[in-house]
Amino acid sequence: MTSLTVSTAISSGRVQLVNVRQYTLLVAKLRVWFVVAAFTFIGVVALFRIAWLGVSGDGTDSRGMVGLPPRGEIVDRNGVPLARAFPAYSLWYNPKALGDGPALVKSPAEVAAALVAIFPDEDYAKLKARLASGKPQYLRRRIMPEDANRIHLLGEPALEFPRESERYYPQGSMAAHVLGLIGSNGHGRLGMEAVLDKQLTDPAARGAPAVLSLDSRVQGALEDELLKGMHLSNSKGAGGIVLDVDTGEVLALASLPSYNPNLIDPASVPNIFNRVTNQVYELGSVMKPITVASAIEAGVITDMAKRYPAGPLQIGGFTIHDSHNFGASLNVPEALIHSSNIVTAQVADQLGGPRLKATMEALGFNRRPDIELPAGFPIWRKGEWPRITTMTVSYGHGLALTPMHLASAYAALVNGGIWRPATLRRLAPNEVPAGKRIWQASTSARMRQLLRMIVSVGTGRKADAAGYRVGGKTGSAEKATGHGYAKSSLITTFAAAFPMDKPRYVIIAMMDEPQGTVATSGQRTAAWNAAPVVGRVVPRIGPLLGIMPDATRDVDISDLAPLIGNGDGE
Amino acid sequence: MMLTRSHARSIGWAAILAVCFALTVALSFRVNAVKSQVRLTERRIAQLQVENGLLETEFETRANQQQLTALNEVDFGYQAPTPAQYFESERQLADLGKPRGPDAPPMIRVAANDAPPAGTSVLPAMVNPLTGKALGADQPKADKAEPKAAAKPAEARLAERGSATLVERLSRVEQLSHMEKSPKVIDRKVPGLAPRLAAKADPKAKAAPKLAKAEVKPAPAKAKAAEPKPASRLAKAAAPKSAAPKSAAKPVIKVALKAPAKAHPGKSDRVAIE
Repeated sequence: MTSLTVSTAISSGRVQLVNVRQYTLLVAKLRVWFVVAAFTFIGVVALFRIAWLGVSGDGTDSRGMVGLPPRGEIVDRNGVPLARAFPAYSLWYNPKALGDGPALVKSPAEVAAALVAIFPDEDYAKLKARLASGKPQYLRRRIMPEDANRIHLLGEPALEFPRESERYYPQGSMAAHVLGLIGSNGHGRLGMEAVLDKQLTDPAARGAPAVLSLDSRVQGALEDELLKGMHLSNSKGAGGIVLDVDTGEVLALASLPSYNPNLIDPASVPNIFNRVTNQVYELGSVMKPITVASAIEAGVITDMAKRYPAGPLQIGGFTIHDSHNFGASLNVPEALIHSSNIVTAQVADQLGGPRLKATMEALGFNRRPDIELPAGFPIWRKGEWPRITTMTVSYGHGLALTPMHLASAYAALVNGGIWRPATLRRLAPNEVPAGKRIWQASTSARMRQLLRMIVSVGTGRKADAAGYRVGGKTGSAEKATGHGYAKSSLITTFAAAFPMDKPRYVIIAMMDEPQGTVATSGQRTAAWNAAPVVGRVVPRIGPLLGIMPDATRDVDISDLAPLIGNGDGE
Repeated sequence: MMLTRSHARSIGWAAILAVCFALTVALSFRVNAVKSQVRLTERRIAQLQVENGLLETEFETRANQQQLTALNEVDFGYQAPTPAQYFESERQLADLGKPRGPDAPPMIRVAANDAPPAGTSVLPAMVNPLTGKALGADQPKADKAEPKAAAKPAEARLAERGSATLVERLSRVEQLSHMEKSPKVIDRKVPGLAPRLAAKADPKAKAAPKLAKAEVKPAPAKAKAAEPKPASRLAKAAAPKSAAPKSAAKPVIKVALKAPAKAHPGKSDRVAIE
């Protein structure tokens, strides 16, 4: 008991000591933990920082964005760029470049004079006023690098030339009507730039170029030859199409005179109008094969040797004439070769308006052409056709179409009778539309013979490119004016396909108001201006498209050859 | 001062922590440095891509279709090839090599050593897939007695034979010993002369001009031997199809110009008349 007390007494002093010691230990431990926690925190923060840097960094450019153009490229079917982003210089006026003092080192008048010396088309007074205004602004968009160097030599820090991504068309005016334009807001305003605008601006899709069905080599050859033909015949304009008959892909589409989409000036604005898809024309005799094919299909023409009277045809106060007198009678092959309106009208009369109209509706002549570009609406007579309308439509009057309509119809005429919509997108083999049958294969085969004969012995002889088995039909129509037809202004068209033993491509060449010149022997008709263009284009594009000239092959026309005499006509 | 154990330990900890901290900072700097290097490289890549695009665009602009057309019109004048410049098949090509007419004068001989030396095979040597060397390549080395000069042309000939394209092989005029007894001579120097002689001697022998054609051909074909072979048809010029039609016509036009030019000089005519 005592010992217990004593021990208690002693221990009470010790207890206090122990408490102090425990307390000190606790404090020390807490301090250690505190320090450890602090260091751990710092370590963790450092690690996070490292991890953060490793994962994201503070760079603004992520790897994926490098090289992504602000607007997607447009390329042709072989990958040749037709439109691309191009970092061009622009001239920017920054009055704050020298701080708060005067904006320019020299006087605005001197600087304006120096700038006008570099850009002669600038207006001195306006430029001087803009420089004097002291507002930051673009003085000029898209300047050449050498001009930028010359501006640099002026020694004006306020004149800056930042590089800005601009739309550039390396091929210049080539295929301008297909490509179109982009507005100052960076969005497409015309042509495929407008059609493909969504794809070209979508960040997910614009990395890959948009592929068109055009072939730049074919386009170049077509434009070149059309331009030559246009100059030789003094035409106001020209148009042309090359169309794949089996897929409906447009390999070339030209409207001349063209414009340079890189530089739109007031002089080139009228040329932006596309003659091939926007304008409708009465195409004339090129419609005759379509009438004849419909008649063969309907069983109206069963005998190619049957002769029709070829004298002027009186229909209710209206007389149908031919360009020449071809004798008392003609059969169908002769009518096509000499391009007889009278015989074609009789064939159409036998065929009847409803059947001719049904064929033409199936060919899409009563609606806008199937093409991505904005297109013109045909002049199409609705309701039941009177007899005279049937007859005039049969040889291409009283019905106005775009050349695009004609190209698709000719493709169906020669490819075995299948009509397909035309397109400017390159089609993979599995994307080719099935199309719809307009004519039987036998009708198409007969038409190939007839078209080939027109070129080998008829009005289209100037288009007969040796070895390419070209077949086609000329058409020269007087332009319709407010009242009647203008005798002096023609639209001449040559619609052709080659090679006729297995047609692959349709070519349309069209001249707007050609004149008789020395080069065209004083003639104005399609045989003298549009047909030679086809005759020159085909040898240039044939080998590029895998069609080799071969003088040993041709369409077999031995059953029709005895039916024709030789002669000229339109 | 006496260092207690706990002091020493805490100083140790502190030192380790300091080292760790320093390492962390150093590592962080390093990471930042690498990161900024990557950024700079990316910027450089982007810059180079822009530059590349610029150069590409410039090239495309300078070589656009209109420029090429203008260039061709002013400087070259190439035209689209005519059907006569194409062959339908090898058979058609072979068809041109008809035997000479009965009264045709003997052709002019020129020296040529086309026959491969005995013992060399026309087949290319087999290549060891492991070493990549020809299987027979070691043997000539072992036999040092063989002079190097002799070995070299043989090797060159072998390479030539192995790599000869179809066009080159077709364009080679070989001796047709089984067809005619008098040796047919390869006339490369005066391509137009011999057929003209033949034609003058016997105007009815229509085979002669065709023969001439066949013999003129080796010149362009050889010049263009390195070009790819056309897929289905043999262009006489052996020009690639991918080229513009104008350029395809180039070698042929040259031949067409060359043949009359060489035939024209009065000398050869006079020889024939005399």
